[in-house]
Amino acid sequence: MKLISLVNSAVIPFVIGFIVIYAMYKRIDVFGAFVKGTEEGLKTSFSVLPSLIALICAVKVLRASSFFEILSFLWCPLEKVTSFPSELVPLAAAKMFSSSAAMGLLTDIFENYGPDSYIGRTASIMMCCSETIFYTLSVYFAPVGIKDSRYIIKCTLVGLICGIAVSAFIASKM
Amino acid sequence: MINKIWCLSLLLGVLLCCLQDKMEIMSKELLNGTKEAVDLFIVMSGAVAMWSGFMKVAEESGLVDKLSGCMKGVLKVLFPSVPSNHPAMKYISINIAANMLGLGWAATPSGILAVKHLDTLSRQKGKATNDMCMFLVINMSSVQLISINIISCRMKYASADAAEIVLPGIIATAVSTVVSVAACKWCERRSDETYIAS
Repeated sequence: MKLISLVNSAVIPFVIGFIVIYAMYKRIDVFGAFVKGTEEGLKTSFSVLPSLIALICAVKVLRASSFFEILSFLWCPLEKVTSFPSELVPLAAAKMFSSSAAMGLLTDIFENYGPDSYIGRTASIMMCCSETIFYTLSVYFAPVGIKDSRYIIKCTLVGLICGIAVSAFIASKM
Repeated sequence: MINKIWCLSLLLGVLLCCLQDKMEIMSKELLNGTKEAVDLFIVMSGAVAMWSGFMKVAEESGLVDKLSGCMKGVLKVLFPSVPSNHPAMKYISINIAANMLGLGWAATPSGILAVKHLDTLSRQKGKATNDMCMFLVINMSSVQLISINIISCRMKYASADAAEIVLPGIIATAVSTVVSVAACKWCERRSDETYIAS
């Protein structure tokens, strides 16, 4: 555990140090390049703001309407067939929209079932293999103006379902 | 697609709130949401700007070319219609590397730039190309190696071994990525056939 947190906290200093040392070795204007890049970066993040507002509003409405709880209720009859706990359905659904919403649900799960229970473990592994689909889609495509995303969501969902199934399987063996 | 999903989730939310008589909560939450979005934007602009700065430094020093050179073999298979010296390849490699290391804020600017450059190869504006689909699918299946947020959350709730999920997490991610990429390749081939047929 110590090693992992050490490696993880070393990532940013190491990456930045390496970039700067290499640039100095190549004798480029490091400060000038950095400032030029930050300016572009500010424009980029501003271009993301409209989709951010749109998405967060939708998530808020869904959470206020207890949509995710209703999903978990609807899953109950399928729980026996799939042996996938219905408590985890809201987490899987929320993760597609926003990671902060998913993180909130994850803490609820840890609080109620503990991180070392079957549900807690499955939730943890599941969160590793899924990404915020709708956030990524709108943030990456909106600045370029792409409206037709074709088969992206379909393919990602297929992969996500397999990832969740694998998570539940591994957790049951732990 | 995102249009339909957005409208559907809003309408569904409104309908459910009306049925449960939660209209007041909903209005409050909506306003909270806009505030949260702007807060997030402020936090994010600093981080995204900083990483864009370092990205530019790495680009001008030629480090990025080295990185995309290392990933050439894989990228060639995944993005067959992008020329290997095209700028899009550079940003795709930065994005994938940043995501693997868990540098989410560094992944956002490179991802947007990658899509922008892929768009220059597009013949039909407004529609995602095969390469864009592949890029987004890889991105969304999450290739992060260590999910530190989840580990620290587990620690907070006194897990006996908070880091035990790292390897299972990598396995699950690998499965979801491979399946999504395969599905994407399959859809690609099928849509190319209909494209040629029409």
